[in-house]
Amino acid sequence: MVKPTLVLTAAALQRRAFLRLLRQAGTLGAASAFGSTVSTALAGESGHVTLPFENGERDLVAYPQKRPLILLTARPPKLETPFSVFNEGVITPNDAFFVLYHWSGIPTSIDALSYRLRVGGNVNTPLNLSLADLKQMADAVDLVAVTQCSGNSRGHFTPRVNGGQFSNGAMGNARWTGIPLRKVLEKSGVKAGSVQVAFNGLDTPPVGNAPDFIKALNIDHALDGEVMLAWQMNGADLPLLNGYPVRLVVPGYYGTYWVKHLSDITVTGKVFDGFWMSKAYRIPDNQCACIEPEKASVKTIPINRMNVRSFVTSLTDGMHVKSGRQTIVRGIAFDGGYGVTEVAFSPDGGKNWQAAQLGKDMGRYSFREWSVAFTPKHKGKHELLVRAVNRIGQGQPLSPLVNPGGYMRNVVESTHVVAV
Amino acid sequence: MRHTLIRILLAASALAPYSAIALDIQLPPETAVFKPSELPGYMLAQRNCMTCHSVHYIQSQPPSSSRDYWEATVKKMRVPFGAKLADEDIPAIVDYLVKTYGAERNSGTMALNTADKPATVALTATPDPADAKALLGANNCMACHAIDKKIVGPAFRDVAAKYASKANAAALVARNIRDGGSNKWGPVSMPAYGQLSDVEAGVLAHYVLSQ
Repeated sequence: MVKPTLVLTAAALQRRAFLRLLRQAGTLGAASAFGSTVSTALAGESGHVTLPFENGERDLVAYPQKRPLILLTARPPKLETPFSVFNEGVITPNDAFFVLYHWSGIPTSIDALSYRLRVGGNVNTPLNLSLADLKQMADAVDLVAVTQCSGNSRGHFTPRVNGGQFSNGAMGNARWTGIPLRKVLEKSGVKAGSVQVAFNGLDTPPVGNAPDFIKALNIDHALDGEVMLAWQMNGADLPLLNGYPVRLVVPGYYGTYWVKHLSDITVTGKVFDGFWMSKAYRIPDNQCACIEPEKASVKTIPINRMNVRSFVTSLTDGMHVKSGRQTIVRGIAFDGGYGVTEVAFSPDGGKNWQAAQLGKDMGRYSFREWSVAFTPKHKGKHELLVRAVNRIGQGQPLSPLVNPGGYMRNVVESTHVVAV
Repeated sequence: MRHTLIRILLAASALAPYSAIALDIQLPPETAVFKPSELPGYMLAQRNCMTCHSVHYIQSQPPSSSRDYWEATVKKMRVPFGAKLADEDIPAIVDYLVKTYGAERNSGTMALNTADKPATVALTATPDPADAKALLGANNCMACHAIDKKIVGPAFRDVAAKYASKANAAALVARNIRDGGSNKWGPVSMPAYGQLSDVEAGVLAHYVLSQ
């Protein structure tokens, strides 16, 4: 059986960067002479997991630059982060960060020297930028932000909703480094009357007439100074499968907008009407982005800002805790960028609630750690609930809100533990 | 030549000292296959669906998925997703999917005994171009391949050129057709055509190598 391999053509790398790349690849394999090609065989299939819903059996597979992740689909790759990773720290490591593509024509070889980003459309000066151009255009900025698949947790809906059957691991939190999109658009000169900006990456459909994966943001959003073109996550170059060499970072918005291997930025004079904006990734146009299960047709809008979520990370279903002894329960909470201000914890299935302590504030787009003391008063089963509220008072529903795409699940999560 | 290349790369790395120059990855092999079935849609699903995506997309759906869901999904693959599906093949594909992966599982269908592989084309003893053409059509090879240009998979001429110097070229190509393959020609894997007999795979390999 052919093992997946990572090949880094690293002819002119400084030794330091070279070693860092090797570490990124999850190994410190033998580096031969300067200018050589380094081949590093990684483990292939590395076990199996069963996600907590019917037909939830998955292989764990190590893709290039990745530790073994939950394989949802191989072509194109959809890889979910095992949930235990979120208990390792508030930052999701690059080699554990989830991966998702829409079309199987994904780039597997990218030369950072010949890479170009084109900026055009409704602008005064079209640009054709190298990676070096981008890095010199403005001072680099850092931002810690969560990206999450619109359909994260879709597999947990009852009744089930078709689409990617993820558990809760299609999300991650990283420190992104790049420059504001605004700097690039200002250099190009956005013409008056522009409406949106469309973003395309190097991934392509496998057959000619299928709609390329292109996403768009309103012009004001694109110019807000927070949307970024990022070339690093967590201090290292983006892993290829996370968008090397440059991806769009849209803080607070679902991952569908975070276009990878960004190749074209096009300013438009009207609302961009490509399939992936006008037909896919649509949500009901109402406060809850939800419908009554039987009502299929409602007015829809493109999915946008993430809602509030919170999870226990230190305990999982079925784990044992000591009866009568204090356990510190830890977890994470996040929202679409207003910032989590309150996390409430219930040790008894929602009868009583207590405030959890919030951890270090790493910015309003980041996971926020929380912890709370829990002392089970009796032996047996305990249902732990957690509910976060953000700066503008948005919380989480006690029963799931449903929409046709199975998007935006943010029900109050429950964790069942046993005191012994 | 090599020195020039290294100088260029060094100059570039001075501009961006901590960036990699080229990053190449090889994706792990694709192992998921359709569940064998006597339903006619089994072969059609292999020939059509795997052109564009791995079987995971189908096998990971909720087992409660209805016939309506599978029909709408197969039709979506044609419009707007561009799959070259024949109208008359859609009902059989939907039937196979809903009875194998969806709400109509266990509705009287049986897994195919591998000893009972249906022959798609009756073959004569010596390879005949007409047999090859029939096999190409029956297995929808031209959905992904062309003689002289890359579509999803490589041009037959490129395959012929790659294997021209190899003594056992026909056996290698026949094996790639039957077992499928990845990481030889690009990001998209070749699905396995395990239903082909040795003779059929050999006829196809001979045809490809003669281009």
